[in-house]
Amino acid sequence: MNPNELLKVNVNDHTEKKNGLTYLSWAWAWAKVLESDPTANYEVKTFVDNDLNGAVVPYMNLGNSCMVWVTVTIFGKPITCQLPVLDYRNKCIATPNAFDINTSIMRCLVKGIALHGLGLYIYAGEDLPMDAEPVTVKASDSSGAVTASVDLDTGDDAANAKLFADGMIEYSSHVTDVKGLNSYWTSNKRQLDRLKDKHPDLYADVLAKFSALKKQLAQPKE
Amino acid sequence: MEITNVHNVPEPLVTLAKGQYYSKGKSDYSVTELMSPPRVRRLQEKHDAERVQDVSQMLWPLLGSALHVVMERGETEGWVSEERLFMEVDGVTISGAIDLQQETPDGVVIVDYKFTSAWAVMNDKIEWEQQLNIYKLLVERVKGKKVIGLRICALIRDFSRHDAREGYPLAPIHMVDIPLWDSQRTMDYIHDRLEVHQESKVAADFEEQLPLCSPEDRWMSETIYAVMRDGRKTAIRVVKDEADAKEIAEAESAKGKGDVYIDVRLGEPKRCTGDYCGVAQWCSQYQSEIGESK
Repeated sequence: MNPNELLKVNVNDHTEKKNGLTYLSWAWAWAKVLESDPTANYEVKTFVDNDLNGAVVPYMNLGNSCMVWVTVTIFGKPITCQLPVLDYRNKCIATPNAFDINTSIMRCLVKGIALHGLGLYIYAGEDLPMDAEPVTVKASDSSGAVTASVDLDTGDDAANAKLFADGMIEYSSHVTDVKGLNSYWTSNKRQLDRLKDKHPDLYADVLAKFSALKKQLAQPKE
Repeated sequence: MEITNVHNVPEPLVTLAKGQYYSKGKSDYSVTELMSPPRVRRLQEKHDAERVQDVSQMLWPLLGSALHVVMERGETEGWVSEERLFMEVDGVTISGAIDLQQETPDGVVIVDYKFTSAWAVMNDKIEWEQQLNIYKLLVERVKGKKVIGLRICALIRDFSRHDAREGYPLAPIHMVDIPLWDSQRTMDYIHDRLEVHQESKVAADFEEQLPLCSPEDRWMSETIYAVMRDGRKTAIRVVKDEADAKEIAEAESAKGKGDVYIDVRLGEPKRCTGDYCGVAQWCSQYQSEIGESK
């Protein structure tokens, strides 16, 4: 089996849905990889955590969130990918425990395998599952993308907040009724509350946009 | 909410009152929270820092908490006590702490303890039905076990052995069987509740009017009509229907024993008037009614 064939494998019978997102079983995916290339391997990146007296840990501590990195080598080609440590609602965890980190590493492994082709079709764009609830998923994914591209470069909470706020506004265009707006807003309630607390100006922008949108959606359609 | 100890009761009771023995776990809603009126929940959140309650006023909630603590210690073969289960619905995590599950060869019987009144067990309480049927769904979905029965173990705090009314419980501990719903009905109910809570959360954030509490939410008592006669202290008859009252009044009037009139005794939102929600003073719905009646 070559990379092109990996792309064509139907993985649907080995997925599980949680919180509206689709997850592929890491055990099945890795077995499939070994079946295709017995020499395949993967490596979890480790980092020195100064907050833990210089301990070597399998995650990158970004202050208000953490990132795990896995390099998957199949057919001699290494591909490295990253994943923020997320909770069950797909939101960043500031102080993850061992279970959270392990879960993220195994999900990162699956993502790395997907970058080689296997199960790639269940992702859209960087890491957007195609068949999850549209609004919630886009919001969740925007936060994932934000962490991946911004935290690493700057570790800047303000930049993350701005991207989150922009993401909220950007994806509000997908909302078609008040019920959807309510669902979208409450799905991101924790982050919105944090935004309100830490960045009230950005929160005000998001609130104004959503308030106006709600009024517009509440109007009877002609 | 600040818990005060004005009467200097023992500190462990204060600790218990502060809810350290009860948690909804890592969930968005507990079952009871989901069932509660959204207006009440949002006002409680908004005014949490301002709310004050003295521990001496929390007898029944304290006894309820104490019972949960005691139950966790009592292990009996074939019974699972104090288990909290989690389930996701539309991306929202719901949890329910089930007091007791009796494992039988045919399936599980769910039992929930309630400190309650004799009146409550003599009348249908839809909220018991709603709560226990969500527990049923949790057990079926999370544990994959069939639920064959739902029962309330009512601990009747005002029991009187001399009360002989029809349907009055025979003992201070009384078992009440609760009707079973199919899973679709329960899911429909959960979806409805999630929707009203989401709506109220957004309304609170957008500083809009919160959804109003329904008469059921407010424990509204019925309006009754008392047929009265001048010079008599007690009513001739008390009825729930205005037309019936008028008919009785006409008949009594025809007897020529004095002027007959109807005294309309309006229903009362007991949850609001007794401030059982704890936020009546901040509730525009209730406060505007008081203002109007003044």
